[in-house]
Amino acid sequence: MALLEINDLSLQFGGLKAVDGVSFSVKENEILAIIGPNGAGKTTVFNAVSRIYRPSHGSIRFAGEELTRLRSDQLPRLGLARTFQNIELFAGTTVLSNILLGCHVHRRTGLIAELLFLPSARRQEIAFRAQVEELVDLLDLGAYLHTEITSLPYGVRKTVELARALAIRPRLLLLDEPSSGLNVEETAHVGELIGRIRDSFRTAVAMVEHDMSLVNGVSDRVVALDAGRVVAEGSPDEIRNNDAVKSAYLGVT
Amino acid sequence: MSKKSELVTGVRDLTLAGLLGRQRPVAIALLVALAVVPCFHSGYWLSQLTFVAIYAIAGFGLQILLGFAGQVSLGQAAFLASGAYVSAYVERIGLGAPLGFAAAIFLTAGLGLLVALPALRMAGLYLAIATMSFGFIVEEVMARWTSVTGGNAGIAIPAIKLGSLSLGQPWQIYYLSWALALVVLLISANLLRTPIGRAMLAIRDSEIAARSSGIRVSRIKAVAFGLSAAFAGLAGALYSHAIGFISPDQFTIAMSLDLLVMILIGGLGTLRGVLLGAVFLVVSPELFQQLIGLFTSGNTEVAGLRPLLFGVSLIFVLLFQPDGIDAMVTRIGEWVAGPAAGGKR
Repeated sequence: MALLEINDLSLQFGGLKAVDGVSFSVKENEILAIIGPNGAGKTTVFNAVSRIYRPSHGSIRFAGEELTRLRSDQLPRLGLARTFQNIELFAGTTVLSNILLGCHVHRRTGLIAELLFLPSARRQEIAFRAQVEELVDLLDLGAYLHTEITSLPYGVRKTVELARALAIRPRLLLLDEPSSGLNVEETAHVGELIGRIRDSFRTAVAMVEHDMSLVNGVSDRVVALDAGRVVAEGSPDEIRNNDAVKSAYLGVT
Repeated sequence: MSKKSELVTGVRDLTLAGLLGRQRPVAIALLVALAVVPCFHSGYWLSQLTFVAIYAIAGFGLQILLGFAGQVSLGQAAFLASGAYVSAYVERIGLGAPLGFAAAIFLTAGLGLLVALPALRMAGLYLAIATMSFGFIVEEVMARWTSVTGGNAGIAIPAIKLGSLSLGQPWQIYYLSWALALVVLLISANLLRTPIGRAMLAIRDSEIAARSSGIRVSRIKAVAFGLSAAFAGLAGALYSHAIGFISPDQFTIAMSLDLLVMILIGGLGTLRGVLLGAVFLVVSPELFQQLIGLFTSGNTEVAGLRPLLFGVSLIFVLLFQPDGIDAMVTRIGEWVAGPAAGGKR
């Protein structure tokens, strides 16, 4: 069974059907890219899955749970993590704090234990930092640990956001345009990272992406959206030669 | 890069010494100084230092709420009032000071949670207005619930009694206040190095990212309000015993604003800033008064001096040092340590 199963999902903003009967799935350990021209509804689908938007119709099942019935803050506990197109970090604090916040879902202590910093709270912090260290090594963030987000370059911020999402130890990672704002080399690096993340954490990845070199480089499967509908689905090669995709991007030919 | 050595899983701030970092010698020197003050002095400045501790306790509470969780409150005086009157009442009916203080802390925390309920739906200016209104309501209750509060006439507060021991001397309340202030400081520091406190920073900076990191925003806000009120309640109980008399006109919006100005001038979001702000709040009007005294003849108290001083200082800080005295101290510290020391914090 698929890890994420989206079935007949629709979402309306007033009179505008942003997403119109979309169905697709993400399998365990798979990298899926969602492509499409601006306004195709890619990010809207993500926001519906992560319960920032309430879908007007359809079902979203993740690991056997119906997500439309849950609040967004309940999803990470199920193993669903995401990043944002325009980066949503905790800007007034350090890289370390940001990544530690990803560990929040694994919290076992109560308020009193934390306020008194009882041995259980201390042990937990040590365990959290060990996890952070692993991610910091993987993503090469060691130099920035105690730096505040506001003084970081854009590319590093994206990596921090990725690290925070990974600290949740997700079964599925939703990446909203991992290459946006990055140059060619940085994009290639991100592609390599996504592959490494899947291999070392056995995490499935679904990403909204415009950069076709990145899409072709890492994804196992591609879903193409246009005007709120799925117009094509298949391997990167199949999508590249698909007429519906070509017409969506280039206009009807 | 020095990954392992730097984090070695962060033991830096996982121990008390690490928490203080390079400030340790200064902190120890200050502690020793605070400890010996009563041996040399027992007059006016000792009681002023007691109020520094009491304002700091309330300030830590407001810092948690505003500086950490990003929720503004213009009603902190109401929580201090609650602490003061609850402890006074519990002691008057003969249950003793320890229970009085405990009741002040926990009932006021409950009051904080109550305020949090509507506050969860508001932010920014609306929250400021709502908490301010709450302050006005409590003022009115203090004035009218005469059987408990003594109304506008106020009530005298006897010295704290622990069994046969009576803490009536200024140095006794001084030590008690500072001991409790340090406990509250430690608790606040613990909050910052554990998940719930970090979650407060998270909701302050981005609620949407907080939610998608699995943080239940409403619950964290409620905890912030509860803790903030609990600390204010403790401060209120101490305040009443330090002054020996309470009446509604001590717990007005002016006190709430004093606390707000205190943490803004001290430095938003830092614990050291609270201590610096408390010193500023208590000491600067006094110094300013004496400065004026040099130019005018005699000790005539100039009316409206305090708000003027705070107002001008606040404008000055916001214009030239938005991160408050705390950032100024950090810069001076770096300058003293010299470039050789390097590094952050």
